[in-house]
Amino acid sequence: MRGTRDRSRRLTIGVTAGVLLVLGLSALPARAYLEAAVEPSDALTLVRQALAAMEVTPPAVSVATGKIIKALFARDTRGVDMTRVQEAAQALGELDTAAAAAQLIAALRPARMGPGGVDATLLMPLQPRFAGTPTAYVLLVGAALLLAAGGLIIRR
Amino acid sequence: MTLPSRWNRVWVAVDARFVLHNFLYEVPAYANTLPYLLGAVTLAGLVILIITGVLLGQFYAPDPSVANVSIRLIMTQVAGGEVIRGIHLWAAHLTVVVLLLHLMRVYVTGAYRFPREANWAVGVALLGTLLALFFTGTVLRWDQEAIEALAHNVAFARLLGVFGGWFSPAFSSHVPLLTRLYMAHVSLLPLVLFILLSGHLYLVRQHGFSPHLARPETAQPRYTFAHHLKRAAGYGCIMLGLALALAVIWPPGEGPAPVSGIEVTKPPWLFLPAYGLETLFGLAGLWGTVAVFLWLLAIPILDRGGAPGWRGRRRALAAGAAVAIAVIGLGVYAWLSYPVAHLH
Repeated sequence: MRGTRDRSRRLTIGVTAGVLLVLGLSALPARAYLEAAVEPSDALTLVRQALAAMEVTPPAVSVATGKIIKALFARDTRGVDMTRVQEAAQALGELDTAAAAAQLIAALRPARMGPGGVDATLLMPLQPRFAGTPTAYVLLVGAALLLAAGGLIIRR
Repeated sequence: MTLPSRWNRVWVAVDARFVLHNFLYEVPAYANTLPYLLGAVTLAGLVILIITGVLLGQFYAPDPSVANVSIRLIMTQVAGGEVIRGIHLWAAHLTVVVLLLHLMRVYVTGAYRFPREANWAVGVALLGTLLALFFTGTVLRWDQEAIEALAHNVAFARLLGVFGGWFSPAFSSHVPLLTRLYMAHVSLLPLVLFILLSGHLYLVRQHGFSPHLARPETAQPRYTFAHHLKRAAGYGCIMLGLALALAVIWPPGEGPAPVSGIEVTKPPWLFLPAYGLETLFGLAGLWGTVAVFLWLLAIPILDRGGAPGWRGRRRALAAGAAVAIAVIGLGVYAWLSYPVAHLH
């Protein structure tokens, strides 16, 4: 009886010590994470952020607007065609998101392999669609054969 | 007396060396029904993922400066690259769905009870490993969604203190985190998966298939495990066919090159419940995911004794239903809600 009580006491102490050790270590500030998030101030990054906000579905218009406004007031405008950014802001004001996104892409074109290393082809999503080519139909026939073969194996 | 045919002689020669007759042990008939085949179908999905993953690995560059470009090149320049990538992605989704159904089947039938508690724990660890593989795969795309997922990963690691140190960019200052996550995706996590899977299959072999709730085992005609494997291969063919069809009809795209410091995307469906928790409770909401895993691990302890059927497990079933409803509810909430900034 006493042995059982001692065992359960040791177990409780062990578990408590383990939990305290885990919590204590978790609470230690890891030096690796001391870096703080810094709001970018250069137009290039801000325009890229605005573009990223425009390219999601549905477009994050308020986020994009905020970033464009900050870009318009940025001191460092290297690699960005600011006239295009102004036109993007105007298009966004008219809620023409497609035109705004196009203007932002155009604004970054001078930056191709320039400051920031932005490649204009990478600014747009690559979204393939069903091609409807003979190869696509051959692959679909292959898929149908696999489905049929699977069904056959299960039934046998 | 009939002479053994050529195939029989081959079988005898191969079996003498590889002891394959060990796989001919008897299994009950219900083990060949779909609910009891889901684990094996998950394994078939993993085989598809490994083969397509090895192929993709030949053309993927795990460096932040070229990762997005390399995926675009896989889609446009590599022969069959777009289809292989599509199969990999869709097979990943299908495998996770099948694994979750397998988990639900084991839970509903109470198959985690004595003597299978350890195997349940191994299964939960396998689920975690597969989710980690899915997550790292998402990051490897290196588009906006990927970089935001990575930022959440780093931020949550910060909550873990020194335990999250591996996810810090400063852990290895000269190797980008993307490269290390790629290493985890193609070697570390598959190794963990292999070890866990070996243990899982070993324990399944030792304990046998969990009993059926309605059909007594003695009344069942018996088949061999080879028959079970054959049916799993059949479902594997169906999974590959489905993944191929989906890859052709809905080929996965690639987003623009990412830019950090912004949050405008939502994660894949699998992580939407965690995203919902983050929206409601901030980053600390991600502890909810940890809590669900701890609850899963504790189930065999919480649900002991009582009758083995559904009637004796009403509380466990109610708890499972409540957690499932909460998880699905959070997922739907996150899916319907507008993306919000959790970190900035």
